[in-house]
Amino acid sequence: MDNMTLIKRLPPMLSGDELEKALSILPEYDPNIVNENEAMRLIALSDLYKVFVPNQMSKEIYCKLYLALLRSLQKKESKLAVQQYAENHKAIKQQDYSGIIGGSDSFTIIGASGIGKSSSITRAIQLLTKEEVIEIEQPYTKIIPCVLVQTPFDSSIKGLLFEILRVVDEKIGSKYYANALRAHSSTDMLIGSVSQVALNHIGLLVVDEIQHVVNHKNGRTLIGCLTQLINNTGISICMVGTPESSAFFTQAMQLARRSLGLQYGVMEYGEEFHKLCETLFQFQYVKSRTKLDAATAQFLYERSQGNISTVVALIHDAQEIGILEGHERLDLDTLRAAYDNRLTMLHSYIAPPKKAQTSNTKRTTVSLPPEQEVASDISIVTLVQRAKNECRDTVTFLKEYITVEEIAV
Amino acid sequence: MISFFPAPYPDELVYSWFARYGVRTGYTHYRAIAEDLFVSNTAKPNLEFIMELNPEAYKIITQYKSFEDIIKEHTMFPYYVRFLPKERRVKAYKLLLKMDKGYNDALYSRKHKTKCRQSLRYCPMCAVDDRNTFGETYWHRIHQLDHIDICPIHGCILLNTSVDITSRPSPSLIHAEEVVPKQTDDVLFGTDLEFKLAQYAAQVFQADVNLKSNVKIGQFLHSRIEYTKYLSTRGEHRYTNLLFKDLQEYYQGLPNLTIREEWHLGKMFSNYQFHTYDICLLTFFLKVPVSDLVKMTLPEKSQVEKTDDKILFLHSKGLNYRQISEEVGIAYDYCKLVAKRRRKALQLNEKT
Repeated sequence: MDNMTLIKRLPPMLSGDELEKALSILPEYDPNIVNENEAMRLIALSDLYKVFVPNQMSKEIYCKLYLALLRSLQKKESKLAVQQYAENHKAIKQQDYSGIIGGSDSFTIIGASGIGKSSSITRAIQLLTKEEVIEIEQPYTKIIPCVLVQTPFDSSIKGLLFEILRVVDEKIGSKYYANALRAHSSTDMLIGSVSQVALNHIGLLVVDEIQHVVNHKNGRTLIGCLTQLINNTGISICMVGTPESSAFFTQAMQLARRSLGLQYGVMEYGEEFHKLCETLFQFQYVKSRTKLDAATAQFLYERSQGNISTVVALIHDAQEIGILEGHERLDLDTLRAAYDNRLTMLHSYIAPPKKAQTSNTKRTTVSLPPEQEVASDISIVTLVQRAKNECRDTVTFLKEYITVEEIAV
Repeated sequence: MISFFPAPYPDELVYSWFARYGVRTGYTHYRAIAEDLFVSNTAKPNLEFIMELNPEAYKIITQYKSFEDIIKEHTMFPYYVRFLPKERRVKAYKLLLKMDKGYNDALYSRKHKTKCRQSLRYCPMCAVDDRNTFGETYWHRIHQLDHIDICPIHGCILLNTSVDITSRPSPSLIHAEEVVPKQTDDVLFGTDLEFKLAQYAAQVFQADVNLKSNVKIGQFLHSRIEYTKYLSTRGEHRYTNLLFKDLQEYYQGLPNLTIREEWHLGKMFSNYQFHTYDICLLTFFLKVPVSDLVKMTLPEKSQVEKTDDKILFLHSKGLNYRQISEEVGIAYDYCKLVAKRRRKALQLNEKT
């Protein structure tokens, strides 16, 4: 098989406005819905969760995934891939083996929960693959462009490997999972089997919830297994997780090297956030339509701290409250009610700014013992930024590097 | 369900083709591979031919080539049927097409007293070429010809592997890449004669099999010794002892000279011996071109018929039998007999 045959089956790579338009999902909205009864409007309100407004993050994720998939497909049916089949077979026979095809792309997409990573990835995968399975006649083969699996909660290697086989079976109707179960293979043999399956059938493997490896004793072993898969298959592997996994990957060079990638924080207050809110405000199911103003936008940002899922939840629940309680308005009052009553679990994670201090407030100083010096290569600004990126308490984080004395105000 | 299948390589055995599939599936046990391919998941795979495939496997492999072409180009079928009588040849072919095990009886397979190959073999130099071209080596058909121990391409001695073809080990599909080493230190070569014979036999083997030909091998071989010292003047009587003696002298030192008794030759001329290698030994010695051997045709008239025609012609020109006998080199009594037979035949024709 000429690799071009496979690559031609990919849709052309999009960019710019074309990409933005293609990524957007805006469900149909009939303005007359506001005249319907409560039940119908509440059901229609759930369309809000289908809305996908692409931002810079989603465009970058699309490009990254497309290029990774392209590089992975270029390696299929090459001479190196043929040699790798033989090496992987040695693993199944429990003999010494090596990675010949070489590690392809492996990268991470790290970001706090709720900022839209998984949605962006899912949307990008939908765009990347016109066909869920690419079927080639000569040589006869079926290739799944993207396979998405979850990291097992217990960081079990076998769990992850079986999950890959199960997903592949689901997509192409094969029996790899059933045969692997029946064979009672050891982990090494299973790695060999999954390597063969990945080499045959997978373009890009996306492993979600990678942060499960952080606090588990098997975590490093699981990452080692993924490293082996990368070396033995030539496919691209994308690991998706929350910022706590960043600390894990920086522990060792070989881990850090494998996890270069995209890192995202919450959305800044600006044009992108405004655009998101304006788009969401188009989908109103309350009888009185309101426009988004600066105060509402500011409120939404303060109460979500830029977290997209929280914004959507706020607007959805505010409308729900408006419909159920009869206010029939989407305004600051209903939004405040939604925040106070529905998002209580998130309050400790979202810290709205405190009111301005009065002139009677005592000034406080934080003093360092005279003999302590801040290490010359550590900047406090850098440390604070890191704490923000990793969503950790700034003071606790600073204490790991310098002595900090807290004084009650 | 089969979700992929590699393409066959040139001159690759079906066994090798399926073994490569097995390696690439990642299955840890033969049974799983057999379930994908065969009707029976416990039967031992056939190294030289093709086992009964399940409908799905059949459909997928025939996407590459027709089943007829697979039998002719990827099994040892041509080696065992080429010189069989037409009925047996066609029967074997039809049984193979149906994947009926009964083809074994129809094929000519002989238990020879001399050494036959015991395992699948490979050429170390072909293995290097395969790895450079495809990334892996595989089982070639031309390395599995009985009694040909030399690679027809490189002239080096073929090496045995641990893949036993004679005994009955557990069912398995062993890919050549698993057992053929990456490097072979000492590559030994055969003699020039062995190399040329191997090339000759390989060309015969790889040629198309003519299923429709009615020409029997014995008749063909006889026609190829016409007007040589191995046939009497008239062309009826063979001097097989002389032929055998010359054959032994020509092939002196050849390790696999399977024509060890004069009666072997007799059986070949009498259509009782059909082994491709034996026939190649004889035809190579007689310098029969490969193209003639694979498309066996008989001359319009045999030496006997031409001699008889010459006798009658000379007789019609007015020569007496003694003169004809001297001219043609045939016994006087026979010349008379030929003329007498012709007269009788003419009389019969006139009556009818």
